[in-house]
Amino acid sequence: MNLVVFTTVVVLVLVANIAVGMVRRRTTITFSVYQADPDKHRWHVLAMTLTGTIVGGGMFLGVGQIGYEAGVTGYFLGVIYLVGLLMVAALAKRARAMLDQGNHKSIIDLLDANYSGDVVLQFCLVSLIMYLFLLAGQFVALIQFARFVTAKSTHTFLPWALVMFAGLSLFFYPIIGGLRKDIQTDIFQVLIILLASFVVLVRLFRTGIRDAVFENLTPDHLTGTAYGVVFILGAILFLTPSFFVRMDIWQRIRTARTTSHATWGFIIAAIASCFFYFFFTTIGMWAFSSGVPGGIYASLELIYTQFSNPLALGLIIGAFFAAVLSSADTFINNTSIFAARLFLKDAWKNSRDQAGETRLLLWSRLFAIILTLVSIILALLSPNLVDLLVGAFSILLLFLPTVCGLFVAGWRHSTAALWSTRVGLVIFGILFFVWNPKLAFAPAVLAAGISYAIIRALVHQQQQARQVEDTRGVT
Amino acid sequence: MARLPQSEEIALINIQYGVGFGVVFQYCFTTNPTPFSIWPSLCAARFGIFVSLVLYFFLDWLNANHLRGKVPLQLWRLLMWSIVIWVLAACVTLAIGDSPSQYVLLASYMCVVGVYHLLSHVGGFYQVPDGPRLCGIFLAGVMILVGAFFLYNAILVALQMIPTASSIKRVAPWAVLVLLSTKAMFVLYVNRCIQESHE
Repeated sequence: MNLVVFTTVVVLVLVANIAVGMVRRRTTITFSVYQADPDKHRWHVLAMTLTGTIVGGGMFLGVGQIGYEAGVTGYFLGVIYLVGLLMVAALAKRARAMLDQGNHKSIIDLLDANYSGDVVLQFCLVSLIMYLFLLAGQFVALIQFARFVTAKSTHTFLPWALVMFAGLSLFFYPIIGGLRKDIQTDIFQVLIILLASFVVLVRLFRTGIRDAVFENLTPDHLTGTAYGVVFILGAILFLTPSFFVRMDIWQRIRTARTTSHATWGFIIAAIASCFFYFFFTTIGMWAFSSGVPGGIYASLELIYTQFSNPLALGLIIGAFFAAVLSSADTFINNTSIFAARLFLKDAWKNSRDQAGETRLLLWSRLFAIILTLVSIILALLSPNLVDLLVGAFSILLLFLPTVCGLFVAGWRHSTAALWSTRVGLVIFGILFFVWNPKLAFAPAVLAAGISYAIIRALVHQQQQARQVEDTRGVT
Repeated sequence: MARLPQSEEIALINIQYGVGFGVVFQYCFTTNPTPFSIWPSLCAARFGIFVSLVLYFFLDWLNANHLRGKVPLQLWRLLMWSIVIWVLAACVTLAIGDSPSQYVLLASYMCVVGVYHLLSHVGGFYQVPDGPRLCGIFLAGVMILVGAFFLYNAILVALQMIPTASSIKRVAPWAVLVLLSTKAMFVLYVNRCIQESHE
């Protein structure tokens, strides 16, 4: 393989990504643009940025591994993503109306307006930790790539240099330009991913998709039950509603130009995400059928076996970097916003003043730098912990009853929101260490939901009893 | 001829809807297409599931009509309702056999009930506040997804691409039980909301 051509293609993709991110526009970046860029983007841009965020480095490697180990299970995950994002599309109108009503920029503002300060702080703290680990997960993917290529070739320096270059680029555009630049680069990144997918699909269909993929699969691969039926049932129950508690999803609803742009953006993104789940799963199944070694490197092994052309391989590896960057830049943005709300409560309250906004923007950028460094350290020092916590990302569903309260006024209750989340967190903390770290979130989320309903009912009863007593007193 | 009160019209339509739905469903989702003339005997053979399906839709109709009348249910009636639905779910679960056709039947049952609930909620059949409606739509979505997963596996068995779906056999009846009992809890919750709004 011509290493110069391969390296040039990958570097070109990375340089182009930075160039797209650093292109100047006339608008200056304010904190409003940094966190929400409200009412700005059309449906096709929205669809691309959502797809870019969902298709990350973890998906590139992780879903391939699912396809290798469990076959069509990955297809079912794709369908679950499709349904989950369609549900968001169906509720986008309501969500937009709520955001517009108080001129709220994010879900944090919305929670601030409807719940007590403690609930909001709790939401920001848990989300900050989980998004930090998601960000670290992207760096783990980069490190895994570098280790894989180092083991394959004699040029040990090259993969690490490419990874460092990609990592370094994250210290520029997302930190300077916030959400606007994230979205700007997502368009380019998704185009690169689509182009690389096209190259892989052409090869797959030329090889004969049935022979290449489905010929040597086991019954467990075909049924999708290799991880157990409970895995599928759990994914349906917990993954489908998880989009409603994600800051990045609410950001996209806010940034849509109109309600219909938001709805259509989510519908297209749902279809695209489903496609990519099918695509990466098929690659994993192809790897299994081809007899390449399994594990996290299954997809990369197959790509290195099937593609010797440096141009094609460079494009595919460039797409891998694009996938990592497209998710990482969003997570950098989100973590910095959570940190700003946690540590600059007063400035957040005055965010509509010029001074408050300037202060928030400055600190958000500083937090972004610090948290990116922290996530790199986490990825280097404790990749296993990162892997476990990324697997437990659904713990954010502890806030689902709280977020439901935004849609349904009768269900809204600050005390219930605060204590149900605490109950869930304690249960998660215990089960994470003494039971199964990746499944600990499930009982915790169920317990949180039940305790929300019980606390709300109890407090409601108490309030009614007090009202009756007061009425008697007056009489 | 004197016109029936509107609520009774709705009642008649819904009972016929439930029964008709049950018959058509029972006829359509057998694995081996059978001549139309013998479908009554087919229904007789699967009488338990047929009756349970009809009962299910009937109870659903009854519940929805109570809600339309905005009559807060008393606690004993709510409990009775839940018990009936639990027993019904248990009957369905126990009626499931081991053959591929039974797998297909069970999975289709879940999908059909899921689609029925989805359409009911989206179409506003239940006069309930937004919260229960959202929960209902989510529950219906879960039923459809789970049913589709089981149906896919059942078809693989029916096409003899895999010998048996043993894990499905273990889990599917429990999934039906859990989903139908969740529906019972949902009924309780809806009525509680309405009681609160009356208070």
